[in-house]
Amino acid sequence: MKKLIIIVSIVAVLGIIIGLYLYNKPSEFKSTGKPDFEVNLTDFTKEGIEIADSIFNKKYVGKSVRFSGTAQTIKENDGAISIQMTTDQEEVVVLAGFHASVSKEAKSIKAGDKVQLQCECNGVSKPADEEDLLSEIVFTLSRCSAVK
Amino acid sequence: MKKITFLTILALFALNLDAQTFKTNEGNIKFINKSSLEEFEAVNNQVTAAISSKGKVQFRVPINSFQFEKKLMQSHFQENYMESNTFPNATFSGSVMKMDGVNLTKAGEYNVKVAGIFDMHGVSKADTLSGKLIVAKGTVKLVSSFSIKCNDYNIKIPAAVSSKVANEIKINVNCLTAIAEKK
Repeated sequence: MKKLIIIVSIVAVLGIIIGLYLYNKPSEFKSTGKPDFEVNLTDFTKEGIEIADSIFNKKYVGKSVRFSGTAQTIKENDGAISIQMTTDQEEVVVLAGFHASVSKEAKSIKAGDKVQLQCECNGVSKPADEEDLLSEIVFTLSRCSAVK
Repeated sequence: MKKITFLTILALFALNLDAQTFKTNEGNIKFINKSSLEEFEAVNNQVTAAISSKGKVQFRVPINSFQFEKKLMQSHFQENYMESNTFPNATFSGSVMKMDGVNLTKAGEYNVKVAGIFDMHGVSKADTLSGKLIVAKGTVKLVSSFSIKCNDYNIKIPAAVSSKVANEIKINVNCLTAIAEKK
């Protein structure tokens, strides 16, 4: 009986420690490791334009995507870096966001540089109608990291 | 002939001014949770925001761009509360009330009310927000602070965490828009 109490207590304490560890585990600020998708940027944006948003978003939102492309513009906002990638079509925008804690990686990237990035996909957004002020097709990616 | 040309150019200029839109893809929104047991916040630096000189205002907020400090909170927010792969964006579309008192070409600060529709987690709800437009040369900063209730948008907070996750969440908006190039 005494042994059982000790075993149960140890398991309970371990459970609490693991629970606390998982609860307090910090968020990831960049996408690393093997990506869920390795894509050609042109094909990726083409897919997002041609298929229904709901299907594209169910497939890619929350998943890691690795792609290559050319950095068009780089903007800093509150320490975070946003890189707009060059696309074939003017109305298509691909935004790759770097968290402030990993912005050092992005700060070495200049406009015109060819880069390979791995990011978490946040989905595609399309204008609702002709009156929409948000008139571009926007692919938003965040938690990006530069692949070396 | 010269008079006609001058008037034509003036008319085109006026039309162009009238159609001006200010936009950003790097707007900032922070939400703050204050419950009886826990206080935390999440920041989003990938908000798309736009305002036109006619007073139309639009926001698009990619849900997965919110960054939390704790991984578990991040995944619960995305997968359980907001179901972001089904509802990847929250949007707001509205108009500035009494826009005739606001001049987006003249530097200054304007306290405004914006009436519009929030679309979040598959639910549309009309709301009027108070905020400020801070106009400088070529830019308009949209600033606002308001609260939303999770249950208004069918966002279910499990009873087990209801002491840690408040139903009412404070939202701070800070988006610096610039004149959008016409395409």
